[in-house]
Amino acid sequence: MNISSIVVRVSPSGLAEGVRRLGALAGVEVQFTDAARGRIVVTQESETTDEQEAGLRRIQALPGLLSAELVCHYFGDLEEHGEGT
Amino acid sequence: MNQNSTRRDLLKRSAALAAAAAAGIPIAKDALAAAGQATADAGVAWDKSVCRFCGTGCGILVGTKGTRVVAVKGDPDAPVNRGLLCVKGYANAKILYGEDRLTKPLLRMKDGNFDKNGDFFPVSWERAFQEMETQFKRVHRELGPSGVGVMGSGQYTIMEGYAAAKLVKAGWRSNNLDPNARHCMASAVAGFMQTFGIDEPSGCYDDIERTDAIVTWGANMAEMHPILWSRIIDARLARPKYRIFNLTTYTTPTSAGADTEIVFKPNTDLAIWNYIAREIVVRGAMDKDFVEKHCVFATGPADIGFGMRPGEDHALDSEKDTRNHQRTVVLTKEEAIGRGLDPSVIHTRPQKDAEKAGLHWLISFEDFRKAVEPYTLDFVAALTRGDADEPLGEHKRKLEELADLYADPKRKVVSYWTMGFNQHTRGTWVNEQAYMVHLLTGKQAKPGSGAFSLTGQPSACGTAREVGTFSHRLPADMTVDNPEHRAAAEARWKLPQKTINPKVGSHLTEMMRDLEDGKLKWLWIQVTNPFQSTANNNHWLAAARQPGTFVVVSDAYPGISAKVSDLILPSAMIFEKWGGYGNSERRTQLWRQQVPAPGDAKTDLWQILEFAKRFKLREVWGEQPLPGLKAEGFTDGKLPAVLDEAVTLGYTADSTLYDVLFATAANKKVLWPDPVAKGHANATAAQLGATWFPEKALFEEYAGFGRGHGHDLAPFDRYLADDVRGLMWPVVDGKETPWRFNEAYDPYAKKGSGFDFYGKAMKSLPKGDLEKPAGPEKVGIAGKAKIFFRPYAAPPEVPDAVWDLWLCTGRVLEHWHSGTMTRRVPELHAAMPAALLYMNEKDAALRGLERNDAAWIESRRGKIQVAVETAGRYRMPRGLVYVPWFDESILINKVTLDATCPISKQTDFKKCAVKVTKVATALLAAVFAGVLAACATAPPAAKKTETPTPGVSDAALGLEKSAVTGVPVPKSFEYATKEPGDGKVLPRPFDSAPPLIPHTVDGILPITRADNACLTCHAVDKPEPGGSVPIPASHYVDLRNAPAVKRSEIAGSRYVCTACHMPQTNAKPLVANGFKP
Repeated sequence: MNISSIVVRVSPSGLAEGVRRLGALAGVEVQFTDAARGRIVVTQESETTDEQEAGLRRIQALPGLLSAELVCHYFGDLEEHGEGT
Repeated sequence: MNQNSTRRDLLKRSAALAAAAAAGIPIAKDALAAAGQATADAGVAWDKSVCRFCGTGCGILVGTKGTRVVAVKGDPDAPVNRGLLCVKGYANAKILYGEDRLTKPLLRMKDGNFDKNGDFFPVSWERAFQEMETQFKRVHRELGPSGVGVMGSGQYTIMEGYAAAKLVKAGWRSNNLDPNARHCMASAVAGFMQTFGIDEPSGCYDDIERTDAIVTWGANMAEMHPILWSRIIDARLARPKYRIFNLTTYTTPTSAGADTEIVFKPNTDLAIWNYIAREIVVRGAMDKDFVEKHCVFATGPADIGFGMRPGEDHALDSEKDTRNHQRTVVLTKEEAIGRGLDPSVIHTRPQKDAEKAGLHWLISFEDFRKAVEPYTLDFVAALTRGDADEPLGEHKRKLEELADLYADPKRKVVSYWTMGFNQHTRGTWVNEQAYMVHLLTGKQAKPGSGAFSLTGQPSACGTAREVGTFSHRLPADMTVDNPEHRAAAEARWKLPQKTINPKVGSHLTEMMRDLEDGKLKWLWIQVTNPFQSTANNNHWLAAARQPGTFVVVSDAYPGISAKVSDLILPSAMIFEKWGGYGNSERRTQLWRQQVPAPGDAKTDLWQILEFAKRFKLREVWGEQPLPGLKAEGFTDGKLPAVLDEAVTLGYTADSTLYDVLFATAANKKVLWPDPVAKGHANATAAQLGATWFPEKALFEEYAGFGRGHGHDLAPFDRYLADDVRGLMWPVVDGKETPWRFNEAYDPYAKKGSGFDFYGKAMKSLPKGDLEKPAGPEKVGIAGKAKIFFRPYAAPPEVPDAVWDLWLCTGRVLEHWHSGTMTRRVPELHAAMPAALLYMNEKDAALRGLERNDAAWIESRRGKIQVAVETAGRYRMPRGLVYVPWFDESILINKVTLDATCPISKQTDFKKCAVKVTKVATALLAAVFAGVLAACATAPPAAKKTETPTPGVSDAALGLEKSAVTGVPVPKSFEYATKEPGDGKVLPRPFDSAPPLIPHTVDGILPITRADNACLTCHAVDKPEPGGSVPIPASHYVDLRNAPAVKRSEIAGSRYVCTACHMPQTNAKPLVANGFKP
């Protein structure tokens, strides 16, 4: 069980297109956007850490993106591991 | 919905919030939309708020589900804490749900009538207020306005404190309103006023990241300001040349993070400052340009007593010798040297200036140089060494290193202090001395440099000091004894002239003495627990029970003060009302009501406003007796009738104080409901039946005092905007002020001045020499700060052959003040279940004591029993013991001395003389049998009182039955003994709360910069099944400095694991807690 959050940078004019493309990816949810500066925060859910890495590369490969950076990564057992903030 | 998918949603939301913070996306703006979407399933609504506890002022996010708080977490947008919280911060949610929460007014009654000796019976608010009113009017008729008083709080919201000040000072014409901040910040206030002519710090917390060195003086920041400490440790880990010095009287967790620890003898901090000043002068390290342009030199009288009662009234025989020092002192050899006198002669000094301790005059630089000359390294090192087991040469070397640091013109320095300075019989002096050194070196009011007083309470600055809840103050730094200030307040409040009483009221300790003397017989206590927190407590506990006195306590839980009161009023807690706090760095933060209060509990603001409805002007604004009043324009001993002028202002003799002071025409225009509420309720308005918004109206009315006068607050709504996390006043043209008095940052500093110390108080002074002022002519010193010389002075009580140990008291990380809230949080209680007597192993052995033995600790004033701790988190030097005061079973304030700083009237809780003896062996065996029995069983049913029906005795209330009159048996507890790896993961208090430590911490703590043993096991890349809980990814992001970068090492701000993660003992909860995540 893996959950990560990723900050995606796009040009402000490309925000809507970016949100649409990201939202179409399996396991990815758009959480926040900053239209003025072209920032999108997404979360990504997967079973394994390897899938997380593959998923991040998949996002980075999307057209129209300036960058995508991993910020938080929770992994392991839902009951015992991870920390809230 | 199963547990895992709820947790998954929470994790996702947390991850998203952290990422948004990292990307600089204001979260709250989108929170309702996007985060709301993410959390819709969990049904949790989040809103920004402020931590209930210390003066740091951390921003928190409060999660509510329906009418309940279900979670809190650090607000990643808050500049103070950037998403971090300490162990108490995470407890904000649980403090609301202790099972013995007060939910109905309780009145002492017999046969249906009030009876001082009756049990407590639940009554209606109407019945409660009716008795409170009857008793008020009885006492008011007998004694006049000085016979009634209110003890308030640095935990009052801004609006509550302002309303209390207006009711007491304008309505009742009494100045007997004083906050618990008197015990906490009064010396800091006096230090600011005397030095700068205006209250509160020039700098801000951002100095931590901008400075080169931190010096803590009498401030155990690792426990008392853990989040600021995490910022300091973060800066230290990132910058090899950053330095931390800790000056203290015993070794604390702050010492563990410091580069250099200097343990000094109690009260000798005064001499250390003078040594540093001397070094600066002798080395030519003074910033001459800064001093010439912006400073003057000053001093005042030295024989000023110790704020004790002057006579022997009510004194036990054993108390008399200490109390005699209020009249006469024979100087010690060191005091004589420090004053430039011949030490071979006996100097007997009558304390003739006790009543004018704050007077001061200008001196020349030459006089100043002469005054600090005796404070040589040899003299000061011998006087100040606090650990007899440390070689003198080592102590000397460290003092020199400290002087080097301050004297180096290339290094920025921040000095922090808390109660070690403020709770000091020369507290004002030692505050002034910190400014002395910073001003001499030009290291004040500059980014990264400054002497900064850390506040203890969440709104000691924002409320207690600023709105006028001290017995001498009016809003905005004005004072009752200044005719112009009274006139200004009367005009703004639309009062007849001479309504406000010009005689300074009784300070908090004085109110206790008045109670004992029968001069004050009606007392209302709000948001504080003074019968636990005031020194020399045996006197006051008895005074509260004297026939003819009537004590009202408004509180959320029954503490010691409630137990000795006559009427208990149940109060709403922080998230159950609208409010605002102001923290140490002048940051004002407001919050919305989140949930309703339980049962009949009501907001303190409602209590003040509703009670005001019971007073007609004819009852309080006629002529009033005021013993001792002598003021220009007033007849001796009397306040004039002001009813005639009241009529010309549009009032009648039958107008109520509610209508005249609170529901004014202007305030009624501030309407409730208000869109800023975003659907949140307002209990105060609802219960008043008001169509106006009391909290907003009173905030704006109060803000009117400061706007345009260097104390500008932003409009109420601005603070509640989604993109604001508090603002540092003065807020001018929408911009906050991080550094005051500095032209580059402060719009009030005159253009072209560079620095402008524009405070107005005490800025016209006579000139004189080190002994006295030369004459009455005064010189104006507008725009300048004062560099005071203050000599070393010994405290009024020092250890001798009989009372052979120093006693120091204070707080601990886990508990807030008297523990009424935090001791009802199971995890905090299990982490620190009881106050202990921390002492040096050799001192213990000399008295036949070992760890966990029960001991008597006794002073001239009282004695209690407490369990001995020779290990633990504090290392005591020989000759000094420490007992924290949070535990109502261990009422250490029965032992402490009520001496105060004569200028600030703040009690010195850090020094008195005691003896420690072993409790007889036979009793000891019983003690441990009792402990085992207590640990084995659940809390007794009596403690689960809901509404006590029909009546409940005072003993049955609260956490400890025999605390007031008896000597509770001390208990000892054991922390988990399992080795790391063998501990079973403990359930988290709630989802976003940090995990608890399930294994022993022996050999693991303290965490030092060189050695963090926690990381050895927990800093692992991939978790193994059954292995250690790995540190999560969030801990590898530096949210303050580089939020988008995942580091390979843990973020410096997370390095001190114990700020958030607690080890647990086997202690069972004292009362059940009904919190549900």
